[in-house]
Amino acid sequence: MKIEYQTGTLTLSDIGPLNAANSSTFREEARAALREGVTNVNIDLSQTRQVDSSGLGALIALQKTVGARGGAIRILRPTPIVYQILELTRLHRVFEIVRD
Amino acid sequence: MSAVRSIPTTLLACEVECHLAAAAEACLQARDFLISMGLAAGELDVWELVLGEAVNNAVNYVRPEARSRPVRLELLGTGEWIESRIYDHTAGFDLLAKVDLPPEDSESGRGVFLMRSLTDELAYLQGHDENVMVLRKRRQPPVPLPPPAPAPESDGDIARTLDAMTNELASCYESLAAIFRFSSELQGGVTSEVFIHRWLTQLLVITDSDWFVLRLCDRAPHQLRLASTSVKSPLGMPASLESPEAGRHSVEALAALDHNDVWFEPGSTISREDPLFELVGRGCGFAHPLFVNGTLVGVLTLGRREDRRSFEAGQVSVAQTFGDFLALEIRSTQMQQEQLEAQLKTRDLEITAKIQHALLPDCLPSSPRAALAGFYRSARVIGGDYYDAVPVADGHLLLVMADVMGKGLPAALFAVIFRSLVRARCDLASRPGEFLGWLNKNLFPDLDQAEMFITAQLAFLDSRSGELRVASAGHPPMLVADAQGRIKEILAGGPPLGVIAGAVFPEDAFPSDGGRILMYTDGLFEARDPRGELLGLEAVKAELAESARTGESCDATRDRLSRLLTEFEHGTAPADDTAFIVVTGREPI
Repeated sequence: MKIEYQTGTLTLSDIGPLNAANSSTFREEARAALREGVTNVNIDLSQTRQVDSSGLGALIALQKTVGARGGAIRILRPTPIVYQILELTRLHRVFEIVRD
Repeated sequence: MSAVRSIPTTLLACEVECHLAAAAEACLQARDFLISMGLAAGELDVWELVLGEAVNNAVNYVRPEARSRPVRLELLGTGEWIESRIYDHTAGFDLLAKVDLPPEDSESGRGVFLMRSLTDELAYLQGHDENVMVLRKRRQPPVPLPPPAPAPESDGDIARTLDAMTNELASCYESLAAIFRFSSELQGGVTSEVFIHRWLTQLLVITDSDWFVLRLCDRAPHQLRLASTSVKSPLGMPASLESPEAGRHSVEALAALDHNDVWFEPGSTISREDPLFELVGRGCGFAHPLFVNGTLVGVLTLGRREDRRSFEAGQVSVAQTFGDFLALEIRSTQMQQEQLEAQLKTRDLEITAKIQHALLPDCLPSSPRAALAGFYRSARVIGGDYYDAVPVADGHLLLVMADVMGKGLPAALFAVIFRSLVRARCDLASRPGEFLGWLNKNLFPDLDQAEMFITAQLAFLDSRSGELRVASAGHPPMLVADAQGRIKEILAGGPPLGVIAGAVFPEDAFPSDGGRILMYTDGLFEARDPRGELLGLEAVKAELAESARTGESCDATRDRLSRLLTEFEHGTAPADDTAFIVVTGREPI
């Protein structure tokens, strides 16, 4: 996973599948990257072929952590299947989703 | 011909060790199997996801004593269907006919929902020792290639993705185009209300919504007031934001107080007291709070009728973008308005200050019987204090001190009227009581209507006899000090002007020779020090007495009292205007 910082925003990219096998690792690595001064988090899902229910759980857990700091999560460029899953589970209401 | 026909079927059956890494490997094998069956990319993604959910559940919830037993995965494919069976050794669960989503902030509980939503059939059979989950999904029919069909990869999935992307692009383009169009209209001076309504009507079309409601935020009382809507029926009272509880009775208030979108759909729990109950209780949609730099501007609510499906992500983000842009426009208009009001207020203050300044005499006249010195200081908010010394026939002098109740332009205007009336009837100067009666009669209707009053004191200084005749309308007493520093208060009191129609004002008369006389407004003794303590009349009297004993000049007494004020206030900004006149009587020459 690639971790970048830019004035208060953390961007995570090169993320593999977010499923039961690796979502807790993602959750821990993302939390560790949330250093002081970071309010918003961009999660680039363009390289993520799959997000299952535990991957969604990890995203929501991260949203809670970030929300407690007054920030928000933006999901960038989700693949069609991941976008479909976010919409199906109505989490497009919770996350800002940027498709381009 | 046989009554039984065999169907070409392909089967994958495997045993998976009971841990997550093995489950992941099994899903990849299943994917390869489905690729070999010719499934489309989108179908493969879905199958990989639902098989993962099923096998992971079998691993995660296995009974402890069964951990050594493998999970069995079977996949069976025909030309029309794919069916999968996953055999687990968990305690099992009851699969409900309808699977709901958990709350949005719940981190778990979406697995079964995904399996049900993404497949055509889902069943769960519980056995004594082993349970089976059955997932069935019809295969996508191969999409006939449109002639001349140049794209070699074209299939249903790509076509749908392209459709979705086209729609998305189209809605992005539409919203951008609309933003540009409306921005240029704004510059053309379209009034705010018309602009907002057209803007939101456009949004209805772009997002395929049935209705909108926009409420803007009032500061006092803190509430959401209806600004624009497409709904014809009445929408109830403004939604109050005064208490944190307000969110329980209004989705709009909840969105404003929580700083978050609030979603509703048929079946959502909506308070009957919600001003939008009739709308949000029946359809689906969301309330989007509009913030600009942390300031709540309002709440935009969009909805669809109950028979329609909920909003797609693209439509939601277009609506949010539209709403946020609108909020910026509204806030910037509000700020221009506030700036304009502040400018008008400053202008108002400037005019008032000019009037105030014009009221005061440039220099006080001299009299053979008395020396005069005046003092005037305006407070931050200009009021209606006024003093004057008017030479009248035969070298006599009329001294005037008045205080119009209230501040700002209205008070200053009454001061102007009062001054004009006084100047117009100087023939009444020698009878100050009668003069006040006449002023009261003329001012009463206007003061009464404006619910204002004026306190005033008139003193006639007879240049021949040195006698001072005083009458007062609700004004603080005149102070007279003799050479020994003894102080007398001359009240000569009637009611303030504008309080009682036909009031009578008694007069008092005394010789001015050798005396030191102080006429003043209440700003003098009501000055406050930094701790908020009042100066008080006694301190003024003491200073006047001291001044009289030293026999200093009239100007020196004025400076002494001015110093008393400055030193007492010690930098505290005065709350009220202050005016006073010092008169020192001379022996006749």
